[in-house]
Amino acid sequence: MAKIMVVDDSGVMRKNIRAILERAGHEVVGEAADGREVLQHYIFHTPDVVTMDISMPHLDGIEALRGLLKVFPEAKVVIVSAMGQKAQVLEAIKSGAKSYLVKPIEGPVLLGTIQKVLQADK
Amino acid sequence: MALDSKDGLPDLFPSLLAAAERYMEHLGLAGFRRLDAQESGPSELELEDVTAFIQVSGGIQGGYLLSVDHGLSCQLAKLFMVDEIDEEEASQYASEVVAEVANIVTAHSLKDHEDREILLGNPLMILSRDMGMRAGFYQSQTYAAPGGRCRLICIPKMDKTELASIVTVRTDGEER
Repeated sequence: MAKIMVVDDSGVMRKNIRAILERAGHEVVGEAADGREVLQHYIFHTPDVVTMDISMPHLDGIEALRGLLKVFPEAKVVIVSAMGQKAQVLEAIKSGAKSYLVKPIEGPVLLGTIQKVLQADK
Repeated sequence: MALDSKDGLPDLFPSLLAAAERYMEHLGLAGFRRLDAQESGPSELELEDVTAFIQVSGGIQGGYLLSVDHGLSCQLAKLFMVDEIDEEEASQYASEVVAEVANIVTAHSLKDHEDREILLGNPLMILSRDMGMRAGFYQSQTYAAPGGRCRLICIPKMDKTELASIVTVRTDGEER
């Protein structure tokens, strides 16, 4: 199974995503509540996949994604956001996100997306 | 209550209510039903125990509030959390859950406005019954569920000066 980092400013969302992932056998190696923390946490935890919210204080998920990919172009990021407007989804994908999920997320959908992202390069 | 659009702007309130009702059903909240609807201003509206305020800017301007009493906020926490939680944990998580519910409902209510670039602020939480809300104009819908009640409030157009005066603190029933 995979090492996953969860990024969301909502503590209850991080708890929920962690619960879904751990029940499926994945290891949640780290969490971040702020876009500014993403890079340092990624360096420390070296996850296989990152789930990332967009609306976060100080540095939003799109900017954090761009910053992460500049240093780690191979990073696999799945955006998890309440906003589902086409323009936002396109911007995230153009910025390098591997996938985009709209909240509320269902466990099977999250797990299926993680699996597809992991298998994409194989 | 049918509400006409004002100043050529879309009337967002019906889609806010629809998004909230769909989401509560998705969570499994049984018996979530409408009570009083209200359209008013300028005046003051009392808030419940836990209130999330989200400012919307960009192509659509305004403020959205989800105000929930303690009982319903704990019920929402139990439904929202993936792991089973007890009463004490539900009380601890309640305000964060209300924030996230407000975030999801607001975002979903705006999904039909693809042509407008919309920015959602992070939820501002107000955790006291001793607070009131004042706005030049607002739309409000009260809901009841077996666990308690909540209000959805939309302030359709709101500038920064209005935002600064939107929340008042009550002392013994008098505005401070």
